[in-house]
Amino acid sequence: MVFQTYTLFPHLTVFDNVAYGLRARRTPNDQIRKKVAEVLENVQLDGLEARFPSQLSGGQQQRVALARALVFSPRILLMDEPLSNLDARLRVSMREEIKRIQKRLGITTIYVTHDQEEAMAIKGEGEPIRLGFDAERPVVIEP
Amino acid sequence: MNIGRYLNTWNVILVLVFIVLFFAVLYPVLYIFKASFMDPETGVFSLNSYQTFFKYPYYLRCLRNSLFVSALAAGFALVIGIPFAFFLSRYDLPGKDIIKTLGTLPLVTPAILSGALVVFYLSIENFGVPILIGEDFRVLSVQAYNEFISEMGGNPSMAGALSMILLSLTLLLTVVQKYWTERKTYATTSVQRTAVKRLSLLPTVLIRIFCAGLVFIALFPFLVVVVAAFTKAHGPVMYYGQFTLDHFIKAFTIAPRPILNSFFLATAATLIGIVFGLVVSYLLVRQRGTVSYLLDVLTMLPLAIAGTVQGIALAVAYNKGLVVLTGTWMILVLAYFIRKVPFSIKTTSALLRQIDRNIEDASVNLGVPPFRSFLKVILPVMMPGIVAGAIIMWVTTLAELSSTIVLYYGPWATMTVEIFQRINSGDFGPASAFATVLIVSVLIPLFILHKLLGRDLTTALYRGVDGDRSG
Repeated sequence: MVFQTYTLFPHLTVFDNVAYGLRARRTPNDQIRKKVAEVLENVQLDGLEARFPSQLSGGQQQRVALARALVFSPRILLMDEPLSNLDARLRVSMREEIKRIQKRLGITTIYVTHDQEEAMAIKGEGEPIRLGFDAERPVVIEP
Repeated sequence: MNIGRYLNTWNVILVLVFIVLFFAVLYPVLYIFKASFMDPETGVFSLNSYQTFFKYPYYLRCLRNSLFVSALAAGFALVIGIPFAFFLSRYDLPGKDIIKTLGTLPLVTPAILSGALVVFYLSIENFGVPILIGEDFRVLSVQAYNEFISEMGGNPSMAGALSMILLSLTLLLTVVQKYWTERKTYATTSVQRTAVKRLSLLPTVLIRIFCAGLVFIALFPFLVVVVAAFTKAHGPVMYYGQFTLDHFIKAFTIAPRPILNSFFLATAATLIGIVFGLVVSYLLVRQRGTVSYLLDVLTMLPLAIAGTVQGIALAVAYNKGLVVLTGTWMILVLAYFIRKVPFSIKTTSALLRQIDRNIEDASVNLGVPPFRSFLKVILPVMMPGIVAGAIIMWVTTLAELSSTIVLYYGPWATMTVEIFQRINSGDFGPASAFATVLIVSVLIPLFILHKLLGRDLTTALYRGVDGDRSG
């Protein structure tokens, strides 16, 4: 799951943030290292493992949050307005990047957003689903 | 997600916290409240103690003295403190702007009054100063202690009545002060920061002399104590100019127990305070509503109770019955812990308020059970606040006298008690030696705290946390 706010652990490095869930699952150390390196490369954060969240830009922080969720190779990814904390220009490039990563990894993603344009840009073949109780928030489900 | 267990763990903790607060704060105060209305001989309801208080000029003079001294102290604080604060914050204000500045006076009035009330409160609550240098000038806090000491084992009614009168005064002051502080926050949000400007030579020099003079007057007694600790003495006769290490040797070899006692008791109270403070801050910040409000009031209540009163209340309440604590070291730890834990709660809850609530959810979402999430994520992030709170608790406990003097017994005398008794018996040299040890033990942690806060405390501590993790 990717939250609206980055929700990174401020006292942990990028590496430890991503490894957090794996450690909780008692994954062996060498596997943790391999998986984290892989997923960080995927979100183009390789080389920043030792940084703390406070030393990263907003876009980078959001990618750490994404990496943290992707590291388990989940079957479904839930993203709750993941871009609402970024400024407008960054939002466009980030959503393209999210789409690119999502395509490559082929993870079914539930993407919640207020933004009509964002919904149209991020969606796959199908139409975005509008939830009856909240018409402002199209939900995009990608295969 | 294991929400059910999460709530239960914290609910159990909440109940435990309330039990502790009830037995450490409410019950003792209610106990002396009841005792003050009881005839010491027969145990039936009576207003005798209060009648005695208001009938005899002896007691009324204590009340008048307390109020008079505190008002005078607050007045002095205003007269000296306002220019001092002004000079410090707007150091180089040009003369023509002074009128403009005076115009902002009404805006800072709440702050000034609130400051004066704090001084008033601190004076009326103070025990050490009046009992040591007050001679026949008796004030409420001292008189309550005297009544208690002379009637130990007898009736606590008069001590209770005096305590209640003192308690009503301090509570009233706290409420008024809180009211003013809240108004202050209201007013200052719109005030802009005034630019600091240069002054011409003469005013600069005068202001410098004024500020330095004040600091000197405040620090001078400490200087004298340190010098006296190294000066040859025979009882109260000091041979200034002749130096010796005798007093320290005596303090460390013949009577090291008070030093160790102080360190032990302060450390024990601080450790309990850290855990309790952390848990209470978490409950305060995460839970809203009546329960949280009640918790806030109860934990802050000891701040509004004079140390002497709290000491008497605890001593009387746990003197007999199921749990006898009076005359043990545990009652000292209990008193210290409950009086100092508000500092810890303030520092940790301030930090906790800034932490994104979702961080915990994220941790739970990544598969870490809720309570472990708290330990692994919230606890390390709150480290700076915990450390700051712990240092403040520790040093203020070390310097505590007002409740210690009521609660200690023989072997558990602390440094402050030792100083108090040696001054009373005219033994100035050793008293100064103990006082110097105390001053140094308080200054070093404060210095460390200042160093830590001066730099980027958070990153420093995060690195520290980072270091002791494996993998």
